[in-house]
Amino acid sequence: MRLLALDIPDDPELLAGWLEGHLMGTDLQELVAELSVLKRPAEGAAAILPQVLADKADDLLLLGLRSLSRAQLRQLLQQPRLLLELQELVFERGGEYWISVPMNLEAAEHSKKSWQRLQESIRNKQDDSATVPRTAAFRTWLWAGTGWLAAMAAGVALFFVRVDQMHQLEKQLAQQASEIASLNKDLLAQRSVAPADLPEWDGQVINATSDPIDLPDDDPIDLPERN
Amino acid sequence: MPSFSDHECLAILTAEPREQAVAEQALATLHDRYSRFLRLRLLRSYPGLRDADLDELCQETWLRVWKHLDCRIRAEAFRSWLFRIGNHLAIDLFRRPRNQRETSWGERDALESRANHVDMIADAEQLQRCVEKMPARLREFVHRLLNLEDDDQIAADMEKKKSRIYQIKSEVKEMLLNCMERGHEAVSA
Repeated sequence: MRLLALDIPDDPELLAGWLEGHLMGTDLQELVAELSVLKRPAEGAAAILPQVLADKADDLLLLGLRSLSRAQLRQLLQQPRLLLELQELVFERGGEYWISVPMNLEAAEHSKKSWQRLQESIRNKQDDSATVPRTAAFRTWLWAGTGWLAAMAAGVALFFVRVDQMHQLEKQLAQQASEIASLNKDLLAQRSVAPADLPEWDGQVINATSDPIDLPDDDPIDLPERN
Repeated sequence: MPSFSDHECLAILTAEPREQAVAEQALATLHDRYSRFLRLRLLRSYPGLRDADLDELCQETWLRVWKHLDCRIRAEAFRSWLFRIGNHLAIDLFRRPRNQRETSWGERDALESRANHVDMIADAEQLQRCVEKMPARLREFVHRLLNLEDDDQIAADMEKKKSRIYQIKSEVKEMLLNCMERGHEAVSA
């Protein structure tokens, strides 16, 4: 159990630093809840953050809460919700000053551990990615090798198909040659049994001039003119 | 370690190809500057987050920065982009079924020392009851203290020495803390 709001420093000079520590710490919501209960009940309309900061907004982002007047700090404590808005503003636009606000021990420990884990993860990832090119190169080589092998296999297969076709052609030729030889044999055999007393033939079978029957007798009669 | 500006860090991290050692330094610089902002912002947006989940979220967000930093991100917009990534990852975490989370939200959560959101509200309610029980003059004293009124003026109005004012402040704090503890004990009894 703790009560942050009543740890407010007695020395006014330390007030800005104390509040900055809470703005950059994990307990701001706790402080806001306490201040909401402990502060004087509100009188009048609540101000919004730009009204409270007025022309000091840029200074605040660059130089911290020390650039605010005591009256402005009072307004922040009296309307503690504004502290949450201020925190958001600092997260979004706070300059180097806010980045260098000292962390408490817990936050510093978190940051250190977080970076160690992150660095470890990055280096592990780097190792993984370093193995990727080797794997990729191997895979490329494998694909190229497979391509060559496939091309060679196709070439060999084509060669054997061609050789087989030649063998079949040779077989067909041999078969046709043997058929021709047997036909020759038959022809010679038939010649040897043909009759020897057939009449000798020299001259034409039909001669138009010597055989007038084949010619027309006369010119055809002209047909009468048609009127 | 050389100190890079945000602009230089982003240029190093988005360079193609990037040099590992220098890129790590650039990321370390950004992490050093903004890891606290990211953590606090996530915690503020999602007060129910446990430390382990918060660690996981922050880790994953920074890994995204390392792996997928968009070269179109301007240095001025880097923080917004970082917070947006963290926010999206937090939403993803809440959507994920509990058994798929890297950390379980089991019994050990109850042992966590950091007061969670519900405890904080309960404390505020208890504090309210204790303040109402306090004598009016002490309540007024606290009001004036938090209104940043001058200690000398408060001492004069209370007809006390200034050093006594600081003692009273300490006593009021003690009283309120005791009251809150008793209140919690009464509730738990």
